Amino acid sequence: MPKQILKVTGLKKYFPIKKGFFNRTVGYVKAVNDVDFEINEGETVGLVGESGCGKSTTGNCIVRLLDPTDGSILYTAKDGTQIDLAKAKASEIKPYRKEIQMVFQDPFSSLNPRMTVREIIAEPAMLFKTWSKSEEQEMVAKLMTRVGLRPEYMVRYPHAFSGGQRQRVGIARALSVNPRLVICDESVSSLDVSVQAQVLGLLEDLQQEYNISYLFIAHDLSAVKHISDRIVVMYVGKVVEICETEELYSRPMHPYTEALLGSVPKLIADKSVRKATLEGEVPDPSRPPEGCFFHPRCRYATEECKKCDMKLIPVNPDDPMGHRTTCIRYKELSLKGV
Amino acid sequence: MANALCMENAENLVEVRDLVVKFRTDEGIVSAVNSVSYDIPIGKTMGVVGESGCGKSVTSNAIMRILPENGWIASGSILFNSRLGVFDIARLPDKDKRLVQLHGREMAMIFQEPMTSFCPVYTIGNQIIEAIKLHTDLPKSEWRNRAIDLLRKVKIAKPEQRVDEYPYQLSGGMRQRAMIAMALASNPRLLVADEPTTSLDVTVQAQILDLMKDLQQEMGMSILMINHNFGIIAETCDNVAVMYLGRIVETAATKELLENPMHPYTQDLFRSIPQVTDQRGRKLAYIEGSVPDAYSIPKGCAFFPRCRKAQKGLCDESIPPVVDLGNGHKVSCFRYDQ
Repeated sequence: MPKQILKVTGLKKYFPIKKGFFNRTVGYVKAVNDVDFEINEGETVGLVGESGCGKSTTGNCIVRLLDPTDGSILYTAKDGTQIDLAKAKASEIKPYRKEIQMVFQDPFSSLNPRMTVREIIAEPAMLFKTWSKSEEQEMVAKLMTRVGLRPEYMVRYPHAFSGGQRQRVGIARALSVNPRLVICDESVSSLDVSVQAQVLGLLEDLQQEYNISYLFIAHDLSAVKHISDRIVVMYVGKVVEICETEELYSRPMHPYTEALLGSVPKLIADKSVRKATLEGEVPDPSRPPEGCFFHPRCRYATEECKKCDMKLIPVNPDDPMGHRTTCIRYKELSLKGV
Repeated sequence: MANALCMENAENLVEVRDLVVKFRTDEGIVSAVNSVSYDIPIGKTMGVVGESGCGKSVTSNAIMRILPENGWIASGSILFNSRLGVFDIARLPDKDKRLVQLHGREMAMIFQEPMTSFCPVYTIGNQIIEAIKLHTDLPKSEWRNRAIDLLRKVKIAKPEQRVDEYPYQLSGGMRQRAMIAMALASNPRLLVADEPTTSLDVTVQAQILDLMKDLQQEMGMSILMINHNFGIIAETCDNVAVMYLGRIVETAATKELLENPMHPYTQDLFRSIPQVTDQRGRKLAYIEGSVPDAYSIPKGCAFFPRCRKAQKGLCDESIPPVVDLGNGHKVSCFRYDQ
């Protein structure tokens, strides 16, 4: 049994919609709506979905950049103590902050342009006192070499680096405090393909070296497949399917996963191919449809789908932590993978 | 004057020959596009693909003659086989009446950002009617009906109602459809699509690409598709040109290019693209280093410093000639057969 380091149960994050002179709350955007999943030690979990499905909000709740509305995020620390990151006070979380780090999407806005690369990489480590002042330079040089940057460049400012290099700086900064869990929020999305492959490879190597767990948030199903052990698919704030990577791509158990896989452009020269598997667009998360949120776009939908409550069902009842889906009709459907 | 020009091949709508586009910047004069040549056959889709900064958008902007103020066509020709005869777009003066006739009537463009490409204070209908007014000879009483027809053609539900809505009331996918409707207002012979689906989700992207294919079949127009995503190019284009740092490195029919890439850049790029059909655990190959900026383009073959086939004394000395391999497959490399 792999050791669990993070267990998210019933996580909710509602953003109030304010209107009028008295700024009254007239409704909620249910960005994250009852999300369950877990991350094991040394594992990469991919979190995928279309824009607005709540994948980044989930990541931000885990590092407590946002305060969750409800639910629990149970983190098991290095020393074995458990803490609920969703409810803990800021002072209680502080000792564990360095164990959970984040790498952001946009390497242009996530690095302070007034700090040198050395200051950027060393900042978290100095803050948490993982390094002493005297070893700062040596450690920064070591980290920079490790992520494939030349240590001579540590005196430079971020503007002197390309997108891929900046993303490496962001990774080095996250690594400076020896994290156990790194949340990568669309960390390779803004990079060119040839550079994207370099950064993906680097993330994988670092994982093996330091036994880091990743929560890899992305909208690109092809990049996610390369790096993830398991994948969580989200739609309008809900998890619709959780599964081990190979199985998800070969045997999806939710029509939304099938549609996502079908829509991805593939490197096959065929102009006659019809791609669109879904009608319409993602619904407004402040007014999601009744029943299964996906039913208005789902071609397998029946009357029953308008009433179901979107609970994750294990495909194999003997393995409640294995392949899970919210589709009530998964047994009757034989869905197509890639 | 226009009659003196003649297309090399009567089946081509556009023939770009040795196009050079330069920009004046604070750091000096930069050649963004260097002796680029390609054809757009009538009724076919031509794809231009490459990483950011390779000049793919600049070529299309040159064809549309919408280069920014600091950019100009330094040399080369762009022959356009319009209904009024053959024009060299590169030679027409800025305020030439013939250019106004070509724009809109003969060629139209759709952009990446459907939000910023519409004016927010006019209704969708108003903006489509403007195109109809300028580019067709329809009587005023027909304008509104024609706008509704166009919206119906791009499969927008309830077009009678949508025609009076403002851009902010439409979703991203719908806005892109409306933009296509506007481009089609005058039955253009050439549709230039610059990253038309990059800001959209995969499922919506699939719908838009399908729509473009349908419209092409129905109306027989040519499409110039600019994209950074090889998957989209593979699934929509008949012919492809691969660009790197302002030059075309390889041109071929899409199928031929995917099955038999000859340039080391194309070969390595294909290996570095993650795909949903990949086996998990396949190590992505990657190209060393990153794309240099336009101010420091290497001497000789621009790809030389990152190329695994490069030979000192040859590739870094002069620019490789274009080698014709037959069947329209052209490659620009000294050592493609090594």
